Amino acid sequence: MSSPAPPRQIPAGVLAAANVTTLSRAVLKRDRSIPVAARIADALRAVGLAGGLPRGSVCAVIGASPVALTASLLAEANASGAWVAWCAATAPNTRALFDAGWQLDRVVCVDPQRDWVACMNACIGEFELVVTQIPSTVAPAEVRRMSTAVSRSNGVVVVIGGEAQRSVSADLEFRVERCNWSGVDDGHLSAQDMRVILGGRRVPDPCPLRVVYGSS
Amino acid sequence: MSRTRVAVVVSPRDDGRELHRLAQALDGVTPMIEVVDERALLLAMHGPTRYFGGEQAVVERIVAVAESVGVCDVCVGVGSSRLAARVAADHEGGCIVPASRHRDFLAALPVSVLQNHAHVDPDVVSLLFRLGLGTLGAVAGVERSVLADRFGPNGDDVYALATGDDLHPVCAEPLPTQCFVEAHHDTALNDASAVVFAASLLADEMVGQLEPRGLVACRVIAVFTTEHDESCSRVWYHPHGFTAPMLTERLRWQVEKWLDDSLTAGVAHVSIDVQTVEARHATQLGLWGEHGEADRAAWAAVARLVAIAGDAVRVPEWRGGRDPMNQFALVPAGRVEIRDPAAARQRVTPGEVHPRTWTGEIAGIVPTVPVDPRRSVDVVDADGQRVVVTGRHMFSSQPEFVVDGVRRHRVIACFGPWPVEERWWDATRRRRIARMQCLVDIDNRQSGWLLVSENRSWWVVGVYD
Repeated sequence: MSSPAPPRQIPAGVLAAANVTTLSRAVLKRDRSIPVAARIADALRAVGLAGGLPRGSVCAVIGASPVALTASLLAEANASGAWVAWCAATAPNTRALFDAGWQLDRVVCVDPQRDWVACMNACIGEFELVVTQIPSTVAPAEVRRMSTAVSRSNGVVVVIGGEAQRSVSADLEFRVERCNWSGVDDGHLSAQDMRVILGGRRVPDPCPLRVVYGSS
Repeated sequence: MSRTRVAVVVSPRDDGRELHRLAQALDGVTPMIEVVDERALLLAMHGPTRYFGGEQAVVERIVAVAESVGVCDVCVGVGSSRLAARVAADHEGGCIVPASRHRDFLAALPVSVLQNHAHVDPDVVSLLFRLGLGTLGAVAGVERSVLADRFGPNGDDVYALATGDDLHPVCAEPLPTQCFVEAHHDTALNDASAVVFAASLLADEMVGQLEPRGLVACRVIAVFTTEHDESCSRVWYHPHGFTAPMLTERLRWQVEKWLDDSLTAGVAHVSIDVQTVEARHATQLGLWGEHGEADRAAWAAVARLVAIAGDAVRVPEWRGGRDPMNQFALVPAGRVEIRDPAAARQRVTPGEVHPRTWTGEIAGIVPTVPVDPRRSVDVVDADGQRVVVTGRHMFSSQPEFVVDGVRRHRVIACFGPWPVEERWWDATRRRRIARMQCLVDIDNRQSGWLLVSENRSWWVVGVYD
């Protein structure tokens, strides 16, 4: 019985003739991240990430105005096709998300009530983006299990606000250090100008960035 | 042609569980009661009319049964089609439309009833208006083929409804099965969420069997049976077919109340018998980016979430109005169509159904977190006197502090007041309020609040969080 023929390399000419291109490492790396607004992408590149939120990561948004920062952080991804599950006891004002550029037909709000773990299990791996607040009654072991599940998934979980979120070991941490308000001289609040410190497990050297929510 | 007489029972509250309880009580009046939506039940009148001695007697019987289970103020309408009976139920607490007056009754109705009571696409209704077809009588005067040419399958539906026909027949006995799915559970399910989850898997299976055939289920009989042969059966109907989350939500209504009753064993068998199907309206898929893997995964996840959390799974819907906190409402995901991209986009697009622009909008950004229910606070000046908004829409004095319970926050800046007068034409629902944006100092941090003044009281309605 004859042995199978060894695999042959495809000649370069064939690839060129068929307009086949190979994926570079950079492209693969880019696809492993979720797009964010240009200014945030620049900050992520500055700390060695691929200009987006790394898939399979847990991000924490803490400090003042976490909802406004989350709305700015995820607007680009949602507008470009990602579904968002907002799994928290307090739903956001969806008009504010709409104004931030979200596509609301790809937004689902869930009040997990007493079954946060079951709701998160249903969301992780299915929605590209999950925003959540961890109830204080949830055991740290459950939170660790959630983090492990996220790391195996293709999505990103954003944990917002509160002291209960301290049990999360976040890959990226967006801490709003200072928040200035625009429009005070015009007689109404027109924007929040936030100075954010980007840190977390994947960012050994925290760096500042500026995020504006609203029209400055 | 004689048409089937039907009665529609409308409950005063949007509560599917209560409606299912009412349906169980009415099973003694007639079998195969259909639950149409979270407010309405439908009964075939042929049998009970003969048994109780007339339609009026049946209506009286229905009202008495409803009151006996604690559902007061139900409205009952009787007509020769689902639409006529539904409109009759909403007419001054309910009325009976005689068979001989059926066409005349429908002819006088505005076409908006098609949208409100028959789930017809709002775009179609809007276009009918603009074409000068403002009443069902005018629509019925147009040839069916003309409507079908202009509106496609919607045109056929509109013509059928306007001329007094039903999209699907009303039957008091089971029809031939179109599709049947069932699940046996060796270990009986006692927990409501486990039963709903099992039902959601069946709903997925049912949709999975019908979808490749280009069909959707419009009328299904769902039966839950315990190990001791106690069973709960219900007919569910939707004119344009059920998606898996929609059906799961209805099955949740069915089992939750039933499981609370004194059952002697857990649920061992669940079945869904599809009685009526219709062709799924063709959807032209986008070449790129529509119905992607992410969409399908999200839809499946929504179905699972609905099985876990029920009505707590909600999606935005544009409502319009002057209140920035309520311009988008969150509606239960199980009651809307999320799998149709066009319908989903229309649901959230300002101006599609309700007007987009209103006078009295607040300038600048809107609060990111609603305070629901709104929280009562006090706004005081430097002397501790309450600040009110005068008839000239001015502050009576400069706001200096916001008193929130026992805490007192210094006002760093405040903007407004912006007056809003709502429904000034309606003596009972008119509302006159004034809004104020303010920055308050909370633990040395500036926090933005949106306050509303109404009847000389102040409320926090939103926070810039």
